[in-house]
Amino acid sequence: METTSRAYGVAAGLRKTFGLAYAQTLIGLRNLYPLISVGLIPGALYLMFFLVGGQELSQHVLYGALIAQALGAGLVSMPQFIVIHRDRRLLDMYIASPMGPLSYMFGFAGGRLIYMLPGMVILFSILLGFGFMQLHNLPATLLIVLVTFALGSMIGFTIATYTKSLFVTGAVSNILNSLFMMLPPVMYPLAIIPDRYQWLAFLAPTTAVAELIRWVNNLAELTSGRLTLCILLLAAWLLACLAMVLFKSRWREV
Amino acid sequence: MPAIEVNNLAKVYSNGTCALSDVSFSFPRGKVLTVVGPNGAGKTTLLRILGTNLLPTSGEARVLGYDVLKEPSQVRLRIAMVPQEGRPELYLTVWQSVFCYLLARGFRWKDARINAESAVKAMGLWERRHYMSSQLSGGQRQRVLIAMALATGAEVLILDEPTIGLDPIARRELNSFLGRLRNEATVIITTHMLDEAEYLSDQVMFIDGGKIQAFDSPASLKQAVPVSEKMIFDGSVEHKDFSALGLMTELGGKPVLYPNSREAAKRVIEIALDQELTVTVQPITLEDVYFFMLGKHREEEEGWKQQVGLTV
Repeated sequence: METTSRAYGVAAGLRKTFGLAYAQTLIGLRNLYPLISVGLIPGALYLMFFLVGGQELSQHVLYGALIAQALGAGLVSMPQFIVIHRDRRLLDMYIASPMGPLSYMFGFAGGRLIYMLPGMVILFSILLGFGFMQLHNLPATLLIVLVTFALGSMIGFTIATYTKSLFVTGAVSNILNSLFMMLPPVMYPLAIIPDRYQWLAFLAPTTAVAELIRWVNNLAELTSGRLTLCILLLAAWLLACLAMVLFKSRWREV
Repeated sequence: MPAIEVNNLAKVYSNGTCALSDVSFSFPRGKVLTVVGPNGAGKTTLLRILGTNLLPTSGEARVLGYDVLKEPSQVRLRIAMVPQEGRPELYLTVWQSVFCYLLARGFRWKDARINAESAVKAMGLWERRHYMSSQLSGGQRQRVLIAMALATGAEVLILDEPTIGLDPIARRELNSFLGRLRNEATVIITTHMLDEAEYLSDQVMFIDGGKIQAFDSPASLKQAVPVSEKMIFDGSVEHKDFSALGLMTELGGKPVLYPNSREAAKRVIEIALDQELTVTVQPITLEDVYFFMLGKHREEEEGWKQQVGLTV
């Protein structure tokens, strides 16, 4: 049998990430029910807010739902699957291998993308179909969505390395998801919050994400200062979460 | 350089459980080591520390010369592990489980295909390579995990109770395969099946209460016990007729006598002939050694052990 001595390095890291992502994608494609439910939720959400708040509010909801899909896939869905991976003792096999926490996290996250797909397709279809988004804004919006997904995945992965129970994992993830999604102005415009309290909203990374998505799609106007703040905040959160994965996640059991 | 080198290794869990206490041993390359012990003895803890899954509380452990604490990435490059009670992904086929695992370990596509095919065939799963794990029996799923580990071609294989759920033929085939791996790889196994430990292992480690109780080849362990055979009676016997000649106990409901000496054994046969009893004389096995060394014995058994000079 051949062995590999080149299991470290960028190319090897990409192979490792791809291997796990490929496996998780195959699993996702063989489980249609979660995909259907994930696809239905944003559609139902939009309809509800459209009926209650009309078109203006519903646009914010649509962009908020995009962020919710991306964040939820990483922060809520992924850690639960990692805990299941641990329960099956498969995580032990990956730890006892050249795959490190970063490759594992990106690989698992890559596999979760398939779960995001139905909801994203529905949301983008509504946004583009009803003229709420222009096609030329799609790449930038997608980039922000992927950054949000990466953020959620890194936080979700770190949670999963500390919690051993599916119940605790789900609870912690959902608490954080609520704090990041429901309280801050993600589903509603920032302007609703009085000026003197708006700084509080920026404590959550999703506020910066929501502001950027709205600015890209002409739903909000940002001064150059506010735009820089949003970008810097997002970058800071990304770096902090990356540091958390590399240095604080419990890859090896204590 | 030994394959495994452990010095004063200890592990105390956060709930206060002392799983390993001052464990030290060395094990050479290209051999098979079987770790045996009762439930909660520390076997899995030891293997998980060597597999870099678990941090020790104190002490040092080296795999192929690399420190599991300071150089885990070097250790992980050279090992593969099958954990206890593991299950493969239910919605991946046998082939996909092995192939994707190799990719995830950094194998190139072509090498992963070659190794996966070799391992799946070695585990007798080639005909079922397109079956999803959800369609396999428990023993077949266990073989998928073993194939995943074998496919890596790792220098050290760490297998925690790999034969659980395997039928006798599959178990024998796996043990034969592991035996043939000797000289190519170092294999560390835990098992409760002492018969397979006896014929597969170069060395056997008895561990109990987090401490090594015995560590030697199966033959040497048996020689350490001053009793070389046991006598199994078919039917009930009067214990008083034999109690002075050895230790009477039972095995599967049948009376068993461990004679004090060769002369005592001859005397037992004479009595059996007189009383027309059916008795079978068998050499002692590793299981008997385990029973003597690690079993919780009654007072009379402890007294007999001292009488014949059996010390742990």
